[in-house]
Amino acid sequence: MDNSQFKAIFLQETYQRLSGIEKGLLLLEADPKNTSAPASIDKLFRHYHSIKGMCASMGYEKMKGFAHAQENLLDDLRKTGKGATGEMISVLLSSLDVLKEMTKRIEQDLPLDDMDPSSFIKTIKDIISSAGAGGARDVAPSIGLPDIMNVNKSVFDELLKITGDLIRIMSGLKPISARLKSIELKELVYGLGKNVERLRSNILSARMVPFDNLTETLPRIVRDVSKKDGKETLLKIEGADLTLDRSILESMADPLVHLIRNAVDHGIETPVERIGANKPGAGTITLSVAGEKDRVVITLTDDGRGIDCERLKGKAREMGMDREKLERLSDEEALMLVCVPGLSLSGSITDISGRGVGMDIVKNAVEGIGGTLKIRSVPGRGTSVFLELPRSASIIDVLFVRVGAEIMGIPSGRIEKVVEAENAGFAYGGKSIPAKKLKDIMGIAEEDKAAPKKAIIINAPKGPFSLLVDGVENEVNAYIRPLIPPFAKLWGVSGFTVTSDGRPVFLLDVAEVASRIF
Amino acid sequence: MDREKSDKLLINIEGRFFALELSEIARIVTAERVFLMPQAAPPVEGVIADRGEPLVVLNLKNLFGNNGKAAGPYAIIIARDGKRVLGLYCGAERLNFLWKKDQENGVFKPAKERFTKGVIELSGSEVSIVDCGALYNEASNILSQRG
Repeated sequence: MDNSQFKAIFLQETYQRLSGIEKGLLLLEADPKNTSAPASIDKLFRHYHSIKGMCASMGYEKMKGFAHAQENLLDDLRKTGKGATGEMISVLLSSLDVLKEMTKRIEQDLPLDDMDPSSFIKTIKDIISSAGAGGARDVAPSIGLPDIMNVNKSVFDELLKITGDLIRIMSGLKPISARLKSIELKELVYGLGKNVERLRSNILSARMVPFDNLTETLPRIVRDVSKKDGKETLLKIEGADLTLDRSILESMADPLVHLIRNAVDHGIETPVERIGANKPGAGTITLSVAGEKDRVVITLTDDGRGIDCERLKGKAREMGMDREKLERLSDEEALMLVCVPGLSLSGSITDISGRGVGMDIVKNAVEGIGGTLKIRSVPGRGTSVFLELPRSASIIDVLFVRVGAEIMGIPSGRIEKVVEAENAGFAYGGKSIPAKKLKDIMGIAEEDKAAPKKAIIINAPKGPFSLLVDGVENEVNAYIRPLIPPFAKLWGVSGFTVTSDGRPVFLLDVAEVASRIF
Repeated sequence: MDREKSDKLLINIEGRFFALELSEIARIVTAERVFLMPQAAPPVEGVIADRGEPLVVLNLKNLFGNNGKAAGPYAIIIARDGKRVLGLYCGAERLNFLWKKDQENGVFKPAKERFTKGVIELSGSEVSIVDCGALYNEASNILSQRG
């Protein structure tokens, strides 16, 4: 029987179930007697049972048998009412990894033949027989259609691109309609514009996914790294229901895992060290997410040993960095040295075993999507890493400004106000603020010697500043595309758009420009 | 050496001849102007939109000649190196072809300068073969400078 048409549903459902199993097992580990959530063993049992049933329907016999063995163990726990032991949880977590791998192989159309879970099945059987036998009944397999459709993300990417093109075409059509005297055309353009806007809004909201999509595997990572290092770590996650554009979230997956592993591996001390330092034996890592206008701030805080700035500077000197410059660095600036490729404190700060991702890669990933990374640390008290990111990188309001003969875009959400250039210095509540010509910042040759006419006041985290430009064009709803090679690392810009008349316009990276002002 | 004897586009830059493999040329477009590429330095001339996609334009006259001044309308050769695409501006010079059969008596020699991958000696004249991959890498290096 050809079940390929159900494969997407199988994968979607199985991944959800596997994720549920992981959460359930970690809960069970924290509360082996299952007193706080008596229903959690039942829930776990149902996850295994469903996976087994779906595998049977799809003909994945090996995976079915394996899920069945794990289901038996859960059934045994359920019936006997005995608490779960550490050995049980460990074997179930290891088995879960095998189930995940099997699912991944099915997704990639790879055979399961060379996967052999028999040693896990034997261990599970041994545990059951030593704890008093039980066994799950064979249940008729079932498969159903979920309410949520499984749509490949590339469909949404393409829809977004089409919407971006429609917006570009609309912005070309509007001035033509305004010039012509046809009421009919005006009405058509108005109707088209309204529907393009609806389309844009729907597609953007369809792309928004809650942050907790990214956090599901984090408790397991914290658990595994802590166990390996002989540490105890609690992970608190706050504000994970905040939604972000899928592409932003995706690009944060690896950096977040790296930061979490780093925090456990190098931040949190062993229980003995912590108690000796008058801290609770178990360390705490808090991952919090908060929204602010069109930005989101992800903060990862640990209450571990912190980072010693002086040691960092010492390592930087050993690498040949300028001694005087290093001495002038503030603590906040010195902490950013952890993002210098190859700089580590005894292989402990930027090295994360087995992943090949360093803090420099984390910083690049954050900046690559128009975000910023900051670190604060107090030796002995802990470290906080702040990632400020755009919530949606795709379609945003942009103010086009003129710089000589060129046009550049500034995200409207970052603009406080626009004033005459002569008033720029005192435009912010009567206070003097730094002002700089955008021409100079972006390395644009000065052909026109006339003084800049407008000042764009921008409110950056370090304070307001103004960018002096030769004029202000229009504000548009623009589809912003990511920078691509060979200009993927272009300084001072975070993306580009193509206008209705075919002009590529670069979008200013406000955070990067601000770093040049202050 | 079959690849060396493939059909080529011949460009005259200030009296010197350069050739691009025809197989590496996607098309030639005309642009009224080349737009700003922030932080760009010669030989990066700027950027144009080609079929809705941004395309970095390099000025070959900057690279291989003395007169780098560009003026529109711009004839831009769209060169491909695998999936990597680059626009090449070479001024208002007429473009010619160097067919495979024209190269039969040519002598192929190693490259003498950067951004080329060889030289063909033909009846006393030298034609340098442009290395599009090296040009792309150069553009990438220039545009990766930190401001």
